[in-house]
Amino acid sequence: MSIEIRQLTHIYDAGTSRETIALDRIDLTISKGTVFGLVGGIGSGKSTLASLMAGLGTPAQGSITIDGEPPYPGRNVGILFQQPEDFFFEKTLFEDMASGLLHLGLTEEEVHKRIHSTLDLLGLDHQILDRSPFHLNRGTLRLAAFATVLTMRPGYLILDEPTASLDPKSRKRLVEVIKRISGDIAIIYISHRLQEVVAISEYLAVLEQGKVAFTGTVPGYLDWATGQDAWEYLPVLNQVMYGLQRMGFDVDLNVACLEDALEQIRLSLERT
Amino acid sequence: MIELEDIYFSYPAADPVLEGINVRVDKGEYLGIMGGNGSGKTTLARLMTGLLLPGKGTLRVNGISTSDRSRLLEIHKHTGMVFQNPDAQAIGETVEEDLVFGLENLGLPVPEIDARIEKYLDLLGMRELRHRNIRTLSGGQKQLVNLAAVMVMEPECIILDEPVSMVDARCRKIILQHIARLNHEGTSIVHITHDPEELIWCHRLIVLSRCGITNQGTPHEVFGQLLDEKKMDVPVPYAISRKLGLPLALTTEALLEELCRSRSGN
Repeated sequence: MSIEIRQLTHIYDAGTSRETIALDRIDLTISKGTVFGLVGGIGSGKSTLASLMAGLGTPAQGSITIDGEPPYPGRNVGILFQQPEDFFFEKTLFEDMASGLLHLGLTEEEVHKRIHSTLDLLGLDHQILDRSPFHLNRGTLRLAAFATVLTMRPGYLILDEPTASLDPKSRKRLVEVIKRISGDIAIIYISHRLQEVVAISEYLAVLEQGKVAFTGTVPGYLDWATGQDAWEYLPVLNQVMYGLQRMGFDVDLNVACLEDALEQIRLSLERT
Repeated sequence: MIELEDIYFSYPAADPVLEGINVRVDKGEYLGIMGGNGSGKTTLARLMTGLLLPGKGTLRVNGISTSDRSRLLEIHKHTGMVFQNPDAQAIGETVEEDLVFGLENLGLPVPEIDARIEKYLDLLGMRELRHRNIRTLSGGQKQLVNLAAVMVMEPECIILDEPVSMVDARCRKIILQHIARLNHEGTSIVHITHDPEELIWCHRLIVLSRCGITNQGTPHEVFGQLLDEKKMDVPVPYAISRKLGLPLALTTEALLEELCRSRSGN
């Protein structure tokens, strides 16, 4: 039960003067029941890979299969786009959330049930269903967009910069929900917020100029980043710990939170 | 540069977003604005550029009221805005066309247009994107294009609404340093973000909520208040330095220096 990506290559504007190789012979396996982080600089191919995994394009070469089948958006894979707010168009949020489900052929009763249970899962007020999506604030709207994708019950869910433009409170809420649902499905988590990616993921891949530069576990990722002296790939907290290690402080690189880091720094200062 | 006096604003059929807001952005100032979702930050930015009109109160840009619609073009020559949604402001098909559009409208001669485009493509490290179709760019790349499109116009004031939310750490650092340099050279900056690490160069920081402005001061003052109130995130180096009782540090480099000094002192 996994997404299998084999020798995947994708080219924009092929055969023209603007030809750009976005992905270059990518091999990845993403197993069900895990959170898989995808990081990399801008233009490294993350969003292109996301849209191909979601079945929204045809790769130039190579293959993607989900549990042995091609990606089929809305059926075996769901995606939350970078600006999901742009995809609301109905008069009320309920109509927006229901449209995809009705398209799947669900009964009205089942549609109601799925929508309300998903709002409960995210801790969203049911009254927002009667409101226009255009009158909801960005944080609520982003959670509503996430709820809309979840109602489709995808086995594999791709989240492309889900917390961009969200305040810390909304971010925390979204991350908590992701942790809660990740045991049953696979989540591909794409973000520039490295602290978040490292905290939430079990496995990580780094894309650089369309190629896989690293793939493995989170501790392996931190070792890889420090091995290359790639500070930009370390969350700020780990940057501090890495800098201290290089200055001879006896601290761990892999710290879970600010309190852990403070405790280690205090102890190390006392020992000197 | 920009003066907001007793500003009220509501969207149709919705609760008020801003009530009795007073903000002043001085010439050459770098103002940071933080606040939760729905606190009115983006509305405030749109008011500052005359894209929205206040329900009550007065708003002037270089002494011109934004309510004077006959002088809106003058206001837009003074101010440029980078929108939150990277798809909201692209006009050209390619990056170059997008950058040329505003400069042609200013009536600049072709050599000047070329020189400015070269300068900002280099400064933002995006030379290889020059002939790319904007449609095929990632969110972060589109944000770079939007920044460049405003910077090439060289306005007196730039209003940035979450300008680097989709940009990686290395690129973000370069952009923030460039914004700080522009400010140092005299451009006024209004920078809206949820990420306190982006605001370490600003002169003054305000925190907006539905109740109005709740915190105001230098980044050191406001981050200290936010840390005590446990209300919002503050930069990690600031939190560590303050909790360890070290001189306050806003960057990783500064924090490491302070820790090194502290160890030597022992």
